[in-house]
Amino acid sequence: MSQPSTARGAAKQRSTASARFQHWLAHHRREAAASFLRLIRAPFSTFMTVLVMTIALSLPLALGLLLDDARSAAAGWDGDARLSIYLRQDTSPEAQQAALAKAQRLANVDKARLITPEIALEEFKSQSGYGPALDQLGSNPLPALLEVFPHDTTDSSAMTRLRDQFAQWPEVELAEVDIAWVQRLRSILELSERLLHAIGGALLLGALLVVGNTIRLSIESRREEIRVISLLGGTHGFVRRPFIYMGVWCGLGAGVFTLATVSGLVAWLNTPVMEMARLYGSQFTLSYPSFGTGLGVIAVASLLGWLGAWVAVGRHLRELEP
Amino acid sequence: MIRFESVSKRYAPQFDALRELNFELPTGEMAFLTGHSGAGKSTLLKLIMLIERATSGRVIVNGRDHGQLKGRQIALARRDIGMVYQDHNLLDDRSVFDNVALPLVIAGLPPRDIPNRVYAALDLVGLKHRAKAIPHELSGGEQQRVGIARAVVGKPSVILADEPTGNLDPQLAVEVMNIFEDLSRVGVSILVATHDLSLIARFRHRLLTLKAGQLVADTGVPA
Repeated sequence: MSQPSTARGAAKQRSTASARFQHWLAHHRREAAASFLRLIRAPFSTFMTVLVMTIALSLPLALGLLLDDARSAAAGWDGDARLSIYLRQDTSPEAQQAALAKAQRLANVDKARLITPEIALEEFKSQSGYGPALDQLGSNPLPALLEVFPHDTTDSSAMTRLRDQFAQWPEVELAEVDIAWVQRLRSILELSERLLHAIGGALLLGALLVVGNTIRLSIESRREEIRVISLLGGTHGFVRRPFIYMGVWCGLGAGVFTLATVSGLVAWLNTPVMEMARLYGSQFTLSYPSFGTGLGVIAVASLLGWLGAWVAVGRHLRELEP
Repeated sequence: MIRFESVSKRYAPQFDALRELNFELPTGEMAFLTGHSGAGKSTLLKLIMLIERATSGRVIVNGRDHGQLKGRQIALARRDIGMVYQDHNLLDDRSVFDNVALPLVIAGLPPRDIPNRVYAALDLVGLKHRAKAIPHELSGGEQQRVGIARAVVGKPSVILADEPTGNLDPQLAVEVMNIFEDLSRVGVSILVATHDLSLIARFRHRLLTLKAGQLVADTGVPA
């Protein structure tokens, strides 16, 4: 054995901030690579973790995409929402034109159209196939109709208020707003959205717990190492680093697998969905995740991995506190 | 420098491991800590290493009041203390080199500076040639010396040793104690907890004797 070579005993070797930063970066690179290798060396448990996370992320993503598509389709149908204002039978043609002009001047009306009793009868004849029978009628039983298109068809209460406003006009027999189906659709979409948030939240929490549990098992197998590093002056950040990278790698993998799974699902379902939509005269198709959505999914998955690892290691570190 | 000011440590429910301890170990001084099992030696070392906190009183090491340290400060304080454990505490999945390098990696030393420091520490304990071995390939004595190399590699101000010669043959025990003496001469405070009275008799240093958690004797360096 040789003698201590240091003449300064406990003196510390100084290093520049830049050198320390370089070392810190190098350590991050090493830990990232080492964590990745550690996951690869345990393929089964890594695969199970990534698989469960993928399932947990795929469901909300697929439902979210479907909901977006349904919302877009519903927005297209909103344009058909209108009010039907039936004028009294005895309303003169001049009064009908005056009512049309009055309706068009209303602030919340986009446009209005007058369907006179004559036009209505002609349309009814041509569409119903009862032309000869209707010709036998002595007089035209159909009232004049104002078709009113509001500016905002998304606000059902505004449309109802507008209907009530028309109903008070003396020349109006009946004012109707046919938005019940739009309201029902919106209610379904809103309910679906809330359900999606609830299910998505529960599934994301599940993914978080899965990562946390995987990291916890890894911590158990490296408990002694963590204790020794801690006693040698390793900060919480230093101890956490390899586990954080493990969590992030798992999350990253799950994010990529989630995108692949959902894209595959869309490709698989799109042909029958398009065929069914075509039968209803619609161009409806399922959307693939966009580039931005893809990045978001990977970011969220990685964040979940990071958070799960942080929580799991944090619990253990607290046990090591004096 | 280590200073204990009226330090007591009580474990639940009512076991007093240390009672009103007062002593100071100045910079560069070496001392033995002795006492029967359960006298409080390990608890005292744990308080210095920040594994435990004192129930009352103040533990001051290198000017830091250990009762006031939190989080990162604890980690930084530990880096300035080298600890030699009776059970070595080596990591079995890493080489001797990597075990000894660990305090330097943790402290953020540039990688290019690490090999020289590690080989110097291994040379100090006569194990430079076993740098690539993994701990379970070494004898108990060799593992103890790796533990010593790891404790000194970071050039700490304080070294604590818990039965550091327990697994060593007499010749190696003497060599290890010589290393500690050399380190104390260059300003390192060293506290060696041991039962080995022959070692205490051979190396004439201050002796702190604990009994039932109390410091019953603080004997200066014999003339």
